[in-house]
Amino acid sequence: MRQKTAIIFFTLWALSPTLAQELTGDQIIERVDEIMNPQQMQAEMTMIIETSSGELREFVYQSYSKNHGEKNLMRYLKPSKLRGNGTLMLNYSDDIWAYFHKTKRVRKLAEHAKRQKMEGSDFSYEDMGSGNAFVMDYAAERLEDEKVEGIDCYVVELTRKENSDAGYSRLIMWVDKSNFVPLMLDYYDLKDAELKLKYLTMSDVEVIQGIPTPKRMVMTNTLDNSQTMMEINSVNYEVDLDDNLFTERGLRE
Amino acid sequence: MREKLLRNLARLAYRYPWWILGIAGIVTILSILISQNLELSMRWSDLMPENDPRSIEFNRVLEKYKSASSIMIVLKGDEQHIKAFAEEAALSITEISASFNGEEEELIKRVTYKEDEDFLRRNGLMLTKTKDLENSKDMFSDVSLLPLMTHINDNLERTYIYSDDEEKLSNREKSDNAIHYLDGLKYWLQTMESYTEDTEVSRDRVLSAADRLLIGDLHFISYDHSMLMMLAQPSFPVTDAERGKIACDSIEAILADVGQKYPGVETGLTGMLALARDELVAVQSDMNYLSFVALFLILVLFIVSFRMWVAPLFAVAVLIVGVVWTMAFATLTVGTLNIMTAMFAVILVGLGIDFSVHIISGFAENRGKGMNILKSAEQTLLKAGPGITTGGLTTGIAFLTLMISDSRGMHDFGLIAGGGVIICMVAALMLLPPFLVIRERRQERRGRSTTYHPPEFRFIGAVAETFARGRVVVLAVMILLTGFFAYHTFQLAFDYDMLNIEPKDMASVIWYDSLMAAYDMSPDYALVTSSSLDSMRIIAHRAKDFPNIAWVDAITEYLPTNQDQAERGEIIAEIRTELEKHPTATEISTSDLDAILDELHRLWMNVVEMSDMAFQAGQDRLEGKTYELSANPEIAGSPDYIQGIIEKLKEDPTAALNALNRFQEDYFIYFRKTALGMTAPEPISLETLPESITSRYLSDDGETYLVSLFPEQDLWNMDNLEAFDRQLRSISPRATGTPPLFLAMIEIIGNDGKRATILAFITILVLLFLDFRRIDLTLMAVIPLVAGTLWMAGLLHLTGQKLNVVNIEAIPLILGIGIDYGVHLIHRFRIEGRDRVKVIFSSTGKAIMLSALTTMIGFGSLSFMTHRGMASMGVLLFIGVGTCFLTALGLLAPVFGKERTVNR
Repeated sequence: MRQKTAIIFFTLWALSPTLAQELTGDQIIERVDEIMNPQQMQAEMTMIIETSSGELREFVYQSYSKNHGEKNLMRYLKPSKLRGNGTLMLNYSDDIWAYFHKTKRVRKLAEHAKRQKMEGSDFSYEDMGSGNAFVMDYAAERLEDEKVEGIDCYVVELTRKENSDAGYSRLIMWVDKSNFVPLMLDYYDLKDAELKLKYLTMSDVEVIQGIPTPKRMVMTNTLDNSQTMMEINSVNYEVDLDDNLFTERGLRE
Repeated sequence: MREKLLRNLARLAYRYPWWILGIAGIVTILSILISQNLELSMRWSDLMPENDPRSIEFNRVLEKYKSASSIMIVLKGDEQHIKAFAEEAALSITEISASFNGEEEELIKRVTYKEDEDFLRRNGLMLTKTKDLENSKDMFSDVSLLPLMTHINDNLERTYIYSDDEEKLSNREKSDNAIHYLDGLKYWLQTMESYTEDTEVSRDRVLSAADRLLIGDLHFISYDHSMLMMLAQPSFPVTDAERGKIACDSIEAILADVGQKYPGVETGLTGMLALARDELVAVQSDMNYLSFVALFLILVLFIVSFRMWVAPLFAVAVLIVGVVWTMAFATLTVGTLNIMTAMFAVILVGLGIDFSVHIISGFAENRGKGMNILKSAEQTLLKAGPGITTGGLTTGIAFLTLMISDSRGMHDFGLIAGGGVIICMVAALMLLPPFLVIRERRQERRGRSTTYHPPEFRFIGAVAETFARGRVVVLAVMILLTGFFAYHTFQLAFDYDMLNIEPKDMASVIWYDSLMAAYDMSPDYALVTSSSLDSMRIIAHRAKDFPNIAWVDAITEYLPTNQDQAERGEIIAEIRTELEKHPTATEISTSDLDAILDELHRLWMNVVEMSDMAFQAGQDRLEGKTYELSANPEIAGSPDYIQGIIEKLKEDPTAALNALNRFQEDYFIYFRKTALGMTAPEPISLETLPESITSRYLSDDGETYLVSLFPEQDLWNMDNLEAFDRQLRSISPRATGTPPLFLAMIEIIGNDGKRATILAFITILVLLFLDFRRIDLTLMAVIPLVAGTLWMAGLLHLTGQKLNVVNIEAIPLILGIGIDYGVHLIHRFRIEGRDRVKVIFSSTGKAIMLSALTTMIGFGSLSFMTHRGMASMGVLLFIGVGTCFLTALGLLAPVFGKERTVNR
């Protein structure tokens, strides 16, 4: 109940046009962070990647998230080859484990693995489960507002903070003024701040349990023209997820 | 002024015909001699602007690094056969030579088809990355079977499964390493398994298994082991087309010769030199026969139209003279023909004949009216001459405006085609009247008279008259049609797929595709040079960051830094110490057999996990490789190789024990000796690297280094090409090679096409205004041209075709050609005046129709070229000439009938 009230309060606050006009880059990003990283979430998602031979491959998995994205667990449902395999990401993806159902073994990935591509997709682990990284790892600067497909957007440039371990030199985000959902996000190379690596588009936004939720995300890699599409098949923000789920034992179950 | 000149030209032809023809003959002989030096090059880079920095860098690199333009020799067949084939052919290919200016010259510097074996046997460990070396060092502690199997698993888990580097499998280089490792492992297990069977296992097989596990397969072999690539490094620059052709021909002869011993092996050539050679051969032979076909068809058309054969022969002779003079002009000005200028002869055949059409047509009409020879010649040049000179100069100058183009291809085309049209016009005006005068005099001396049958396309006059009568309807239909085609013109797309303009079914293109499929990378690569090893390392390291760079071929792969060498040296010393501790194999006991079975099961788990990781990462090649060792769950009944071995060993433990001990006995000494051989490396420096390696990366002067970057994707696709170029710019702004050059060329030629079209149009407007001195007449000539061009482009879209880098030059070209029809008709209109539409079209109309038909034959013959870019240009021009003629008829006939302001 408290959570619901908080969401309603937050949404009303976010929708207030008077306040919104005065927002700084940091404030906009904080609101984006709130929207994109709810306290808890359980979702079934479909991801489509392009393989090295150019074929499309579809994965369906159950995703669990807690503490505003600090803990994440993904468990594969389809295809049958991967059913039961899973990935556990803790501490905003600083710690990552993978579980292989057929061999019943768990492997731990290195800390810097969060910058690497996740499962051959154009998303990195960092893109998927780094929670409050926009706030913690980047300094935000508001640029001139623009429209994206007719929707009024704030434009915010996020520049990597010194000593941050973020995987990008900068990001440019177009945020829907009406609900603080980022509709578009450009990612720039860590070594070459002028080189755009990829861009994310989010669409099909639905308000689910009071939270504006983009149900479709497409990441386009500008370097090799590959695309990864991710769709939320179902989502529930009003779950109570046990902490034990986000453990090696939870990963194996 | 022009009238005086034309009259004098006619009088000169009458008075001194033999002199004129004699002088022309001498000039023609001289032209033939000069033209012997005219070269043909089919390199795409020759179309680039000479001062373009990318082009300069490309030519500089090719000049300094012969290895950058190696001829790729592809062998396809059984693995053992293609390896033996390569071994045998390599020696003969390095001995290829040819005689130039009396001196024998070696053409191939080196043939490479595998890594330097001696170097890798000594330095294999030193070249292994420090982290990987650390992971695998235990493998060498004791090479008896059980500890070896245990350490192989440890190594697999540290490097690929539980690695702290997630990109172990998602990065191309690392995925390839995993594939090669699994390949070696499979060969090792197969050899081990063969000991459990009754057959004798050869010693070579065992040694080979040890080598594959320790060093890997040294051959440049494809993933499926069915294709082998050999690189023949020429000793001449890639720009030398003559040597390139001889080298390619000689290699093919050797391949055919060696191939007799290996009937199952298919062979072919590809790469820059082979592609250029194949294009050259295809274009040269096409040009020769198509020029003759066009000439023959035009001659037949003339003979049928004029119902006589002597005058058409004169016309063809004059045309040949014009083309020969143009060849000399091209030799003296550009020296080399390129992809765009190679077809100038066929184009001139179609265009140059037009001048003769008007002259013979006029002369025939005048003689038919009973005029004497001098009067006929004078009247012909006075009546047809202004149209010929205005048309010829307008066309020529319109082409010459292409010289403002940035690209050398378009610039040279403008120069040669523009100059050629003017030269053919001069040849026709100077030489055809003397020919006709001589012919008439001879006939008169013999007491005969020539009966001229001027071509009578009466229907044109009738059609024009009908159009004039129903001018409102006709104009309305013409406007509607023009609007319709204009709409389709704006739908016309540009084809960026360069493969679509290459000659169809060209062997080197087919092998190019096969190579790309088998190695999963493009044989077209980018080149970056650097003057220091340090910057080379930065470039190579950066390039490996990018997802669609399949292979970074750099000297730094063979030359670790001093720090790396020091770190690796310490690990290698540890390996040596461990190896020395275990000089003999430990006999495998019954309990060891159980442990070996456990290790095999662990190996199976590792492979299954690698398979899942590869599947998740979309790494199809690696995933496929894992199914050679474990079952594919997607295929029912798929065999599980490792589980099969486990079962086999479990079936008869005594026999298994015996077999494994025999296997260990056979491999142990060689395996240990080979491993020890890799533990006493000398420090690697540039000086100690073998020449077989340095020659691939060092410039001929030994001062700079070359790195080649092979893209993963097909670069004939524009999106891939642009993506690859973006990565290159980020790696080094100086990156060059075929891919960035292609991209630059497309951009430059696209811009040139637009600019040249605008400029040609403006030039035409100015020249016409200078000629007619009236805006209304200028517009009357130009409007059908614009409409005809729109019809052409619209029809192109409607027939499912696209513009490309070759046929785009047809647009300014058609402006220069299509204007002639309006010019001739309006000149005649000025003479005849209004309401004379039937006369104008019956006379001038028939000439321009014949002229259009000859031009269409010339251009149409290009559509039979095997070079699809040139063929598409032929189709475009064929349609364009036809549409310009139709719009001139459809738009001018109604206007001529209506015109009331022009003086008779």
